[in-house]
Amino acid sequence: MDADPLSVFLVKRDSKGDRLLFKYPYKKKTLNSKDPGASANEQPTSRRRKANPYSLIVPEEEPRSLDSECRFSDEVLSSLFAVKQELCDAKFELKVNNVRFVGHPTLVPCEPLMLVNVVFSLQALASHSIVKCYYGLSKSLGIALRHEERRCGYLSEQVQIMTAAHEDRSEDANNDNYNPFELIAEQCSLAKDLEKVYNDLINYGQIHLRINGWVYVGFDLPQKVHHLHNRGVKVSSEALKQHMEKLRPYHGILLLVDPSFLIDTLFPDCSPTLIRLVKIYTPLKSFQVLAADADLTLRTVCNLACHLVYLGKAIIIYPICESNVYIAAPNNVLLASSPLVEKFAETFPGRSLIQTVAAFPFPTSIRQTISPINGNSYTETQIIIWLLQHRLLVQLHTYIYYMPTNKGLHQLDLPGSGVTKSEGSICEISTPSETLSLSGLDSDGGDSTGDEAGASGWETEDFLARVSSEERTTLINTPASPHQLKLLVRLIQQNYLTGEHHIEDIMYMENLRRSQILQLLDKFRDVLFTCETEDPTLEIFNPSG
Amino acid sequence: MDKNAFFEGCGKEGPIRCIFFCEFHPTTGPKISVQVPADFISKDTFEAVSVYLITKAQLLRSTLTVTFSGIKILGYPVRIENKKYPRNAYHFNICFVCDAWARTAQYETVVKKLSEFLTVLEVENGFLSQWEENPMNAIRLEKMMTQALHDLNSTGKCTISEGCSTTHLKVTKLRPDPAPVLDHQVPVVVDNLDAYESEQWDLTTQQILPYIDSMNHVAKIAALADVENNLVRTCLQNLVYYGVISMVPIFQYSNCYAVTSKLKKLAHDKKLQDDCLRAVSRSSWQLPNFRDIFRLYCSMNHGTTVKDLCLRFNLQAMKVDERKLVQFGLVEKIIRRIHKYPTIVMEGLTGEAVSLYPYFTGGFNVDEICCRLSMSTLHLETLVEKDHNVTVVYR
Repeated sequence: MDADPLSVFLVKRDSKGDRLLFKYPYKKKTLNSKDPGASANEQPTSRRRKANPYSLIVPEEEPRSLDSECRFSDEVLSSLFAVKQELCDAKFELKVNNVRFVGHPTLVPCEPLMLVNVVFSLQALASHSIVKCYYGLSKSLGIALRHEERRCGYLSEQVQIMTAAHEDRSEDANNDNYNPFELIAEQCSLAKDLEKVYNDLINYGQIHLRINGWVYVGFDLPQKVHHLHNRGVKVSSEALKQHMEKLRPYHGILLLVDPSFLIDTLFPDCSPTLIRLVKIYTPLKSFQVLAADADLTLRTVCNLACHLVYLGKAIIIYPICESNVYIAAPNNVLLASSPLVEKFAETFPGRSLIQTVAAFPFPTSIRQTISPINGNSYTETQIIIWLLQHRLLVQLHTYIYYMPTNKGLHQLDLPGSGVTKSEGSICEISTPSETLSLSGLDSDGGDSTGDEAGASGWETEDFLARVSSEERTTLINTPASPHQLKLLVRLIQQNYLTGEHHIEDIMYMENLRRSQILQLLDKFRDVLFTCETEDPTLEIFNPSG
Repeated sequence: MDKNAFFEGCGKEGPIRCIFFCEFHPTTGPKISVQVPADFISKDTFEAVSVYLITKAQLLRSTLTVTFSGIKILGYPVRIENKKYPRNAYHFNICFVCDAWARTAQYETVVKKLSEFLTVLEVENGFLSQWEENPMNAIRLEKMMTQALHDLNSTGKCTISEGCSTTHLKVTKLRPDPAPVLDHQVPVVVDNLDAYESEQWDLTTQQILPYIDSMNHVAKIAALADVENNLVRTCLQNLVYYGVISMVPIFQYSNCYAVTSKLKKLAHDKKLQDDCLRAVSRSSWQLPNFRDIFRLYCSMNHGTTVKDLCLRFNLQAMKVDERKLVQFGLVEKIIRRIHKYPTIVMEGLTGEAVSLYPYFTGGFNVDEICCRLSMSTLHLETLVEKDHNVTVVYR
């Protein structure tokens, strides 16, 4: 994928000139060049069968070609990466044809002054946010090296070993079989670290490394770690950040790995609050409840959750409860031959993944999946969790649109907009628009004591007076109680019925019960349209088509 | 100007800030000879990056982009070898300078073409290297660059003439690759086709265009136009790339659709509503009610087929054409098709429809299988129903 590095380079420049000290992967002399097509698709694409010269070739996943930048000699690369002093300690980015090089040239104040640059080469298609991540990695590696040089002269020592290996070649008479990089990779711990960096990026998208066994360099590529969980998921650090700003206290987290495994793999010096959160974690509870359980502030819990999401350990969900409605994820291809089928059968003996997913032909709530006679609600919930972790299900939410007339959504007269859109309005001038904002302050307790007319309240009347006659007639003729009419007016005025908020959101924001809203939907079904769609704020975690 | 709107990685395209011409001087080394506007790139800045502009032999004739301290320089280094030059070779590079936040991939081909044009001028009459003999050439180059900077930024096109040579430069918009076109999909025209001249299209596309009527699927178009399937797909993919057509699943009354979160846009966007009314009406003189249409879209869900919708609502009275309704929804992505994927439950077991098992991997939907095997949906579904080893995944 785009986020994988093509290779990593280490370049230095000092008084003796510039040199490419190490690169990985390097060409191994003994190894026969692997056929790039060999590892390609096991999938039988019948489209490929046709040997028509004009046929359309659809690349599934391009085999990585390392040739593109390997045609440059080491000398050329070192002259490119050993930048002039003016460009030091800043972002270095160079694109040559279809390869992009990114690095952070670092000046190391040793004797004599040296410049090191850890450069990653990426496909030119790689997005800006990926490039930014790699820049960050190069920068932290550079800083770590500078620190180790200051502490114990680590860098000079390593550079010396590498330079010696390079110079041995020139002395050796038959140097055909001599590859300095192989020698360096054997002898030099820094080269081993860079090798590990490259391999970990390709395999895990994460790095936990101690340079010289001392300075910790940690790095995480969200694009890659989320891609490893599901090939269809496309996230970037920017998108995640935007997404995290939309989180609500009623959201929850779903860990993608086993909690005990997560605690084991966490670093010993990680925040104890994180461990506390993971210990009491359950996908059935919202942030608010989790915060209370873990005795942490809501803000801390949200921050920790964002952290886990960035690291690819968790995704954000609406906490699993009986009323949640799910369908099979639209863009997640589920093949009968998929390894998931076997994995599922191992986790839940006697169950078939295909049949389980096929049991969601239309939006189905958890309550419906649990059979009332012999249902084991624990297993069913575990199955739902498993399916959500593997993105085979998505949750649907009900959105409400208040559409009283043919003109579309009800237009709110915004205070200060000057022009009111209502026709036939009686008291539009006499009603100061500020009173609208007071409607939320009205206490609910007052309703129960008053008679019918009192309960409907003056806000309702005011609202009715301001809408068109057609709309008014429809609302008044609906056989609903004044409380319900009042609630409807309140929700309209708070802009909840424009398709932006789902039922759970309204319940949380307005402190309502689900039954109250469902009754409202039933009574006012002529003017309230509902539709069930995915929550756009959580769509980022679902595979895209 | 809003500073926050332009950051590195915002993905927006930006204007060319400066064009400069640099060359390798036999005695003084790399230097900027001409730049418009003057003094945009200082001497120090240039020297810091000159290694990427006047390059080593291996990097010649490749598009190089270097980003540093807030600017981006695109170049295409060229070397012309000839005994007549002081060092037997002449190096030059014509570079565009943009802001670091901007996407610049669209300028790469322009830089390359301009560079090749200058190469031709130099090879033919020494336009670049003989400024001492011909001081007018420097002024003419500066004029040429000023024109390119102005025209490319304002119109995206530029025609440059020098002597009897002319070149045309055009900035083409780079779009993401279109999704592959499949045999069972239906092309729908979304752009105004009259805006394009028919001669603009290649011969195969011209042959196909009359059969794109929002009803025929790709395989049928191929048969009607007597053009090979793969060629049709290639042409259609090209049209998708230019945003002329959009591919949607085939329409059937047994299909189910579900609304997406884009429905919100329809509720709020007045222009989209007007487009929608015009697009879905049965006749052009009587437009349907928006509320009815919105209700219809809201009623589309996993369990409701188009047939059910027609039975439940009186579409005739609503003045709504159900086929157009679905098509508009699909093109605008307000709704999406719920596909059925017949999948075998247990490998190794056999059932009634064993001959079709190669298609029941879970990767082919009913439309695709029917199209491949020229089978009716009803027939296929009966076969699947009978076979206990096959289940249908809806998604």
